[in-house]
Amino acid sequence: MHELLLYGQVSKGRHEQVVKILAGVAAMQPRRVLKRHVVYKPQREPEEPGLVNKRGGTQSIAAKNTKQAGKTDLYFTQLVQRLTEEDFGSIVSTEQALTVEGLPKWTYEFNDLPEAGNRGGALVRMTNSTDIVGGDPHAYVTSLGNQFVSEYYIEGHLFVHENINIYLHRVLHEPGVRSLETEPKQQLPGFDALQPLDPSGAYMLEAKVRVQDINNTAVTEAAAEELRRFKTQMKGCVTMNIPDRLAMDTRIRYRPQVAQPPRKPAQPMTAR
Amino acid sequence: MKYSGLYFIPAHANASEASSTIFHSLTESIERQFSTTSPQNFWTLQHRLLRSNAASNATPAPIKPEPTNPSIKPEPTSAAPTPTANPQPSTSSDKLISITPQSQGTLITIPSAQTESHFAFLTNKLSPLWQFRHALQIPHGVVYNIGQFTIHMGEMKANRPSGSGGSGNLSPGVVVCVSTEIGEGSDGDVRMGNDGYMALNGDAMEGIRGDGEDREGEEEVDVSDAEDLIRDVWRTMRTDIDFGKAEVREVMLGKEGVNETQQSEATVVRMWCEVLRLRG
Repeated sequence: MHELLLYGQVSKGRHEQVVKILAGVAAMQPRRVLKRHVVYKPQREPEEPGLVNKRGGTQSIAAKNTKQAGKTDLYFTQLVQRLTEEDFGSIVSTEQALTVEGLPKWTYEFNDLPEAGNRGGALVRMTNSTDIVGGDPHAYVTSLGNQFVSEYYIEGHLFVHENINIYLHRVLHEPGVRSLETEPKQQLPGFDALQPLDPSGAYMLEAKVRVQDINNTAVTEAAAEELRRFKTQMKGCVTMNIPDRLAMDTRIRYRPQVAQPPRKPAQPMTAR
Repeated sequence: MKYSGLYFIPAHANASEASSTIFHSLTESIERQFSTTSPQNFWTLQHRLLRSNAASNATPAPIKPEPTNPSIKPEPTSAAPTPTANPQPSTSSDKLISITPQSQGTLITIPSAQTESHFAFLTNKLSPLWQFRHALQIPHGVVYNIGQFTIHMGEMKANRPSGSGGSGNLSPGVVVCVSTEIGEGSDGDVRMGNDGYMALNGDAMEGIRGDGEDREGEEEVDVSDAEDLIRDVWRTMRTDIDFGKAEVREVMLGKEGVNETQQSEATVVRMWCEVLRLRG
């Protein structure tokens, strides 16, 4: 599935006002959203880019080209857990109570690098989301070959306007907790213990339209048109833009292993 | 509580019609031996196997660059069986189960509507980690009800990715699943889930059995009884059928699945995975 996206920023002071404006635009009460994102990365390290071309110089005569495996990237993936206000401060294991209000609690999400070149004024990226209705999501994702990286929380409001999901949210995290964890926490911190990742407390406004088949130009064009209309609607209130696509890159970076320079034995200084 | 045994009859690789022949002879045998029965609903199953692509140098922070050809270890890994009973418009969403058996295996349940997208994600985006091996399906299984027994039977079709010289559609064999009720299972809630396994409340079982400790012992006995019953049914079914050189594989439902509703689904899935493993 693909998404068309536009983003804007809302400062903390204007948050209340923007919520009211969006409620008016979407003609619905804001729906409170609380989520926990658990970030995973593959246990494998990525290969050095360009290495694919360096190897393979053989002397064999007329060897048929074996099917070159395309260089595929490794990505960060996420497990997203839907939360309610009561969950904070309580023990929530990954296996417990897998549905909340009929909606699946855990979702395994993947976002690809957004495409270069926008389609009619919106950022496009491929995404996959799998709801996990039974079993242990963390154990599953780990046995797929991933390892836990970190987790963070999102609080915000969701509005639905025609086909656009309008998501006004900001990222919260537990300050001071560093990466010694190997699995998502069993006990969630209290809501007051969380602080915004952005110290100014600003919110992000995300307008998203999901498209099943990106190659269907009629549908994609209609989606882009809706986003453009939303952008003009919000003009003066929030400026909606296309962000830098590389800022939304979920690929794992290759980290070259730096060889230690050989240590020279200390040379005695000879005075001349 | 439903207890099952699975039988897998491999078909001879060269004879493409072999498994159809086996399937038909089994069908005839059932209809002959148990004359009061007739085929009921159909059922289908989809099983996809992926193998992990672990790089041979798995230790972190090596000084040399990682070996560039990921070696495929001979460890069967992720499989995704989907027993669905057609045509059952069941509202239960948990149909696809994705499992990565290592020692015990990790199991999750995802909605069947997302099967394809999740599988596409695994093969495309996680392709450095997982490679598609083959897909097995049972497109037209038949169901027979014989008294307390239910027999699900189907002919398997395999689909390998092209290019490794295998023919497109093989038929690895025929699968027969014999299920029977054990214990006082006719009361209690009957949830017609994806394969009709009953979900009894723990309370209902308590009421029937009384003392918890006795229950353990009784269940043990019942399980072996059930196994014998199932084997008898199988023997009756296969009289007069010659499977040739094929060795029939038998897999019974795991013992720990008894009396636990949540786990019974997991054990059912593991049973199917066990049978469908080592195929191809």
